[in-house]
Amino acid sequence: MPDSKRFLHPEAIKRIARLDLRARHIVEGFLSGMHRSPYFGQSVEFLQHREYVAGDDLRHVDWKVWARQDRLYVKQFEEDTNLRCTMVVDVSKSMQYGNGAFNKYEYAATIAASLSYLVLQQQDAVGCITFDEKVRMRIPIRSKRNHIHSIIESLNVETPKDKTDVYDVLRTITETVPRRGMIILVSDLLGDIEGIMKGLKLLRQRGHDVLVFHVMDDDELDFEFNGPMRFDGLESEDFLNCNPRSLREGYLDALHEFLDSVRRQCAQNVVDYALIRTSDPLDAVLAKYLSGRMSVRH
Amino acid sequence: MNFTYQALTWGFLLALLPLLIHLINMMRHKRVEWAAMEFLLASYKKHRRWVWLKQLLLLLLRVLIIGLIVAMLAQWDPGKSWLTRFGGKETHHFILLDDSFSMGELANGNSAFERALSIVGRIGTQASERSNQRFTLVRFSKAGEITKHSDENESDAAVQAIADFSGAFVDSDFPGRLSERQKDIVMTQTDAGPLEALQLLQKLVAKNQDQHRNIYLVSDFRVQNWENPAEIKETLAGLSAESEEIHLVDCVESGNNNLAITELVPADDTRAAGVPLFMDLRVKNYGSDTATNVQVKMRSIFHAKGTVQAAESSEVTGQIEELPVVVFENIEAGATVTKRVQVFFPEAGQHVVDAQLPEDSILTDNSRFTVLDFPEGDHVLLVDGTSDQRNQYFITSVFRPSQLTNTGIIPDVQPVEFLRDTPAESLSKYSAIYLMDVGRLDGDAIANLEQYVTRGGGLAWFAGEQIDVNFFNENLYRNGRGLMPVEFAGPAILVPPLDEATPHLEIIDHPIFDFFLNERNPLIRRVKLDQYMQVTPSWKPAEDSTARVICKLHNQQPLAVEQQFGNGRVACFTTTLNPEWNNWGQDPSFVVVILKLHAHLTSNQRILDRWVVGAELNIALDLQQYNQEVTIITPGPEPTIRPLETIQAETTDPQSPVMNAVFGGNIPSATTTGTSTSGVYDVITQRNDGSFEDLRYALNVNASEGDTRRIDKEQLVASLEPIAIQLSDLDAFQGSTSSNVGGTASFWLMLILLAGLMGEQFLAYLLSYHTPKGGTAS
Repeated sequence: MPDSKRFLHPEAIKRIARLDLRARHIVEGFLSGMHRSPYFGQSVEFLQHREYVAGDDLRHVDWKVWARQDRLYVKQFEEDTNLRCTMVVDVSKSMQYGNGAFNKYEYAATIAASLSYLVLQQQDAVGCITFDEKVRMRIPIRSKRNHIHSIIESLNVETPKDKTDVYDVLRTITETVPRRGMIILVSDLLGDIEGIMKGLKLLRQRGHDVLVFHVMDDDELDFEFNGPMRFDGLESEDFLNCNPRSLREGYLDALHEFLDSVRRQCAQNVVDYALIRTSDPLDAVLAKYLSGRMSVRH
Repeated sequence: MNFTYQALTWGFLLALLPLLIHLINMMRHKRVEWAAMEFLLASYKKHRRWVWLKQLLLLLLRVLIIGLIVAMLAQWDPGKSWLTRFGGKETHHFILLDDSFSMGELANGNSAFERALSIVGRIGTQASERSNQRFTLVRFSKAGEITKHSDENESDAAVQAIADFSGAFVDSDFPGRLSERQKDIVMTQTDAGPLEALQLLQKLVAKNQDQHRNIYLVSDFRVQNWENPAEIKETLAGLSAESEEIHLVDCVESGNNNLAITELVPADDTRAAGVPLFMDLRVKNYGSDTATNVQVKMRSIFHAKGTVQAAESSEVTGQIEELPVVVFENIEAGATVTKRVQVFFPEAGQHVVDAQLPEDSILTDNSRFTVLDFPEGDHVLLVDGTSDQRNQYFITSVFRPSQLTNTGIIPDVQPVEFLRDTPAESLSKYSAIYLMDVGRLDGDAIANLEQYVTRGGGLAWFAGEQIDVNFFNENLYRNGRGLMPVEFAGPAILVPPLDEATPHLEIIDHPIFDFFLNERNPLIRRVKLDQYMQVTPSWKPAEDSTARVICKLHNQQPLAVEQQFGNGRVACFTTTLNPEWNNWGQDPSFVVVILKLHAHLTSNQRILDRWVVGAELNIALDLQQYNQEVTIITPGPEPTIRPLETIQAETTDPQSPVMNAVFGGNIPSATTTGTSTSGVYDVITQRNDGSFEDLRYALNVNASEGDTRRIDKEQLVASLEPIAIQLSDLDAFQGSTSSNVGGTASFWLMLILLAGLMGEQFLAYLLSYHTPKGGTAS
C-alpha cells in the first residue's frame, strides 16, 4: 500500500475526530495519490438564465437583462456547476451497528463528507439528505467551499430512529430535487428491497444518475459469530437466542440472495452499485465514486 | 448393574451437569443488537428443527460421556452377557485354598498357609495386570460347609456367603482389595480336604460356561489326601474337561517332623467320684525321625457341681492341678506310644483333663482335651438266688472290700421278686445287674430285664445249684432270641486236666480276661473248677448273633459267653460265683475279673463323647424348667479371659416339651466363630428358679491331619494321569500361562467414550461452541 493510502484506512481515519478534517484528509490523500485529474477545468460552462427566486444571491442577477426586459434573471454559467450531487445518507438505527473502527453510520457519514468535499473541490455542487423513516435533514445543493460545514453538520445525527423507509425517502427526493443530478445513496439497504428498488427506479426515471454505496459491516457479511448469543433486532422487536454457527450457512444464503437481488435490480435500472465493507479503505469508495462520475460524463 | 466402587456411582448425578449448563447458557447468552435480523430469522426458520436436533444430540452425548467416565471410575462390571455381545470372553480364576491346620507347618519362620496366601496374592496381581478377569476364592473348610448345608437351589447364595471372592471382577484395584481380605483369612483347625472343595468347584465351573477357566489348588498335598485319590481324580477329570488350566500349587517347603496327641481317653474302668481313674495318652510321631524324651504337660481341672452363680467365664475356671509331666522316652517314626496317667477327682462333676506337647512344626495338634463325667457312684443290683445269700457276700466283698476302700461301685442287694415288681425305668438307675444262682424268674421280671438291657444296661448271670435248665433254655435262651446267649444241657463235672500244669481256664483275648494273657499274671492258673453248666452239644452262636465265648474251660466248654442285647450287654458264666463249684472266689484273680466284668458290662454307658472342631453342639432343655438364653464360653487364651457368646434355645415343634440351643456346626456365620477352635466349651444354662447349671464339651482336632508326610510329586502326577495338571511349588509357580482373551468392559467403555468425545466435538463445532483460530466476531 502506498504511503498516502495507508492513512486512508478506517483505523487511521478514525483518529481524526472532526468530520470535515477527516473528509479533507481523505480527499487530499486520495488526490495526491492520483497521477492526473481527468476532470480538471470542466466545471465552468454557461448553461442558462434562470428567473430570480427569493434567496438567490443578488450578485448573480444579470442586470443587463433586467435593463432590457425589466425582469430579474440570474446568470448561471459563471458560477453554477455542471454536477449537482445529492448525498442521501441513511442514519437509521440499523446503521449504528458496527464492530470495527467505524460503525456503518460513521462510515457512511465519512463517505458522504469525503465525497462532498471532493465534489466541492471540483467546483461542483453538493447537497445532503439524511433519512431514517423519513427525511431527517436536507441541505440544499451548493457549490461553495464552506458548504461542507453545513453538510457535515447535517450528518451529525444523535438520535437515530428505528425504521428505514427508503422508498418514501427516495420518492420525496424525486419531488424536491427536480433537476437532474447525481444521487448518491449511502445505506445498508436493510428494509423493504422492493421499495428501495422502486425508489431507485423512480430516481432514474427523473433522469438522475444514481450511485448506491451499500455499506455493510464485516459481521453482517461474514457472520463469524461463536457461542450462544442473543440477537436483538435494531429496527424491530424481534430477538433470537441461538448458536450462530448453526445458523450461519442459512444466514449467508439469505444475505447473498438479498445482495444478488439488489445487485441485479440495480443493474437492470442502470444504478451504480457498490458493496462497501466498513473495513474497506475509504479511498476505495472515492475511486468508485469517480468511476461512477466518469460514467456520467461519457 | 455391579460397580466395584459403589460410592462413586453418586457421580452419575454429574450427568445432569450438561443439562444444567445448557439451561444456564440459555439464561446468559451474549447479547448483540443486530441489524440484519431478517436474514437471521430466515435462516432460523429454515434450520430450526435440525438445530434443535443437534442441540439435543449434543446434550445427550455429553450426558453419556459423563456417565461413561463415572462408570469407568466406578469400575462398572457389565456382566458376561454384555461382554459376549462384543465377542469377548472372560478368564475366571478359581482358587481353592487349603486352610486345614496341616497348612500351619512351619519352615523358615513361615507357615505353609502364609505361603499359600502369598500365592493367592500373586494370582490376583497377575490377573489385575490383564483385562477381563474374574476371581473366585474358596477355602477348603468353607467348601465343606456349603456341600453339607446347601441344596442346589441355594448354592449360588451359599457360595456368595462362604466364598471370599465369588466371581469378582478384577480391576487395577483388585490386589489391594485382595490383600485387605487376606487379613481376615486365617487358618482353621479343621481337617478339611480337597475333595469337597473340588466338588463345589465342579458345580461353580459348570455354571460359568462362557468363560476361560483356570483352576488353582493351593495346598500341602499330604499323603492322607492324595495317596489314593480316586474320588479326587474323578472330580479333577470332570474339571479338566471344562477348564483350560489346572494348577496344583504346593506350599510346603520341606517335610518336617511333627508329633501329635492322638488320644487322651479314660481307661474303661468304673468312673466315680473319689475313685482314681487312668487316662490313656497316645502320642504319634508323624515325622521321619525317632522322637526322644518327649515331655507332655498334663493338667486336671476340677469343676465342683453347683458352684456356677453367673453366666461368666470366671465362674467356670475350675481348680487347675498340674499333673506330673509324662515323658515318652522314644517314639519311633510313624509309631504311636500310649502312656497311662492317673487322675483323681474327689467329687462328682464334669471335670477336664488336658495334655500339651512341646512346640513342633504343627502347633494345632499339640493339645488335647477331655471332659470326664464323674458320677457320685456306680449303683449295681445284686440278686442272689441262694437262701443264704452266699454269692452276694463274695461279690459285695469285691465292690465294697472295706470302709476305706472305694471302688466307686455301690451294691444294692435285693430279692428275686424285686425284678418282678420294679419297672424297667426304675431299674435304669443301676449300671449293672448281677443274677447269681437265680433258678427261675417271673415273666414280668424277664420282661423288665430285657427292657433294661435293651436300653443299655449290663447283666451278668452266674450258674448254680438252683438253676432250672429247662426254664433257662425256654425263657432266657429262647433259641438265641432271649437274654442269655447259651443253651444249657445241664450241670457237669469238670474232669481235671491230665497235666497238673495245665490251667483249668483257657484265656481268650477279651477286655475282661486279657489282663491274664501272655502269662502276665499267673494268678489265674490257680483257679480250679469242679463243676460247670454244660452247654448243649448243638449250641453254637448263630452267624448273625453277637454271642461269643469270652473264656473257655480246658475241655473247650465255655466258661463265659457274652452277647449284645439291644444297647446293653449280657455276660453268662457257666459256674458259680461262690466257691461252691470252684475256688475262684478265694483266688485274687476273682477281684480283678469281677471289676473288669463290671467295667465291661457298663462300658456302653461310658462312651466318651468325641467332639471334633467344627461340631454342632445341640443342647436340649426342658421348656418348662429352663430359660431360653444359653451362654457359651468358648476357649480362650486364659481361663478367666474367654470369649462369651449368647444363643437362644428354640423349639422346632410346638408340641415338643424340649427346646434346643444349637451352637457351632458348619452353618456359615459372620457373627460367631462357632466351634472352630479346639478346647473346652462351657455351656451355662439357667433354670427358671434363677439357679445356673453348667455343661462342658471338649472339642479336639482330628489328629490325623497332623500327618506331615507328603505325596511324592511323581507319584501324584502318575496317579492323576491322564489329567493335564500343572504341578508346581512355591518358587516355580508362574501363574496362568493363558493370555488375555477378548476385550474388557473398560476397553469398550474407552472406545465408546472416545467415539462420544469425537462426536461431541463435532456436534459442538457445528453448533458453534468452538472458537475458530484467529479470533471471534462476537
